[in-house]
Amino acid sequence: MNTSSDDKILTMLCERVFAEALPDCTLLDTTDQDSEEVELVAVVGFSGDDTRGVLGVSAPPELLEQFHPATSAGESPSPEQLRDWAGELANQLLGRLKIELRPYGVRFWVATPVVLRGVIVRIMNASHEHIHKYTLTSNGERIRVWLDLTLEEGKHLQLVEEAEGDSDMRAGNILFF
Amino acid sequence: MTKRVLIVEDSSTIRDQLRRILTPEGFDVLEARDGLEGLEMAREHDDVAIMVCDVNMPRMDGIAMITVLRSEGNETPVLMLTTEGEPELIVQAKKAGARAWIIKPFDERLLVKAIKGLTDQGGANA
Repeated sequence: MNTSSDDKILTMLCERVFAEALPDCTLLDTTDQDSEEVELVAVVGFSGDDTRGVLGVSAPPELLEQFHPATSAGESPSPEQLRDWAGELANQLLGRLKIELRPYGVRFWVATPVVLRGVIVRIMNASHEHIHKYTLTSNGERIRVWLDLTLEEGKHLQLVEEAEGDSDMRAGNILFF
Repeated sequence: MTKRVLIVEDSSTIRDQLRRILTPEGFDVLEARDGLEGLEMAREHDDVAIMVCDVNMPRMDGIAMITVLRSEGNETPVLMLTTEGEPELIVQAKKAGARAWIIKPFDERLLVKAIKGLTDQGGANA
């Protein structure tokens, strides 16, 4: 069961992940979240010996297009490409969070992302215990990220000794064998 | 001479991105959507100079795919491109026969440099 200390650490790590992965977005005060219906939702689940959960991402097509790799190449991604990108974005955010959690002794396996279609999902403003919700903005559009991470009874986020090679595990790094 | 690269990746966004980067660099790009499809394409095309491969994919993951390929005598260099940074997975990939590991998101110039470096060293099929 997560404690408030665990939640503070998770918030710190999530904020670090957003700053690295979405540098063009501004993280809003987490209390500034309206209940909102969204259509394009990507979720990716994870599970490990002492943790399990899901990370979800929702963003309007305009914002996904802004960050899509094809856009910087002067192309206009199709709706299908934007859906795939939403899943990949969720995957990359969770991948970064997984790396950030490793020094705290948390290990888990990541499932392949799922992008929901044909539904409208309401992101609740009401407080749900230990569900972390974030809103980031860019050019007036909002991207919503929520993290539902549950630690098993007795497990807490505490820095453990860094294993050799852990510091090399950063996005963009290349390891040659 | 054009070199052939096989991309094994379940995200069409990443496959498209890699094709867009590598084609102007003179690579002929083949694409597979998961490890099983990658395995079949690697068997079909014996002139692949390098494979760029994700780890977590449906049907067959990237490390399992390399393991099968190596057991069949295929020594094509494989560069892993993944969101994973788990040291245990990296060790598994190295033991299976991967030559490099890059954590997404990636710097396009560094990726091209790494691919060129690995193909210039020459794999069995390069």
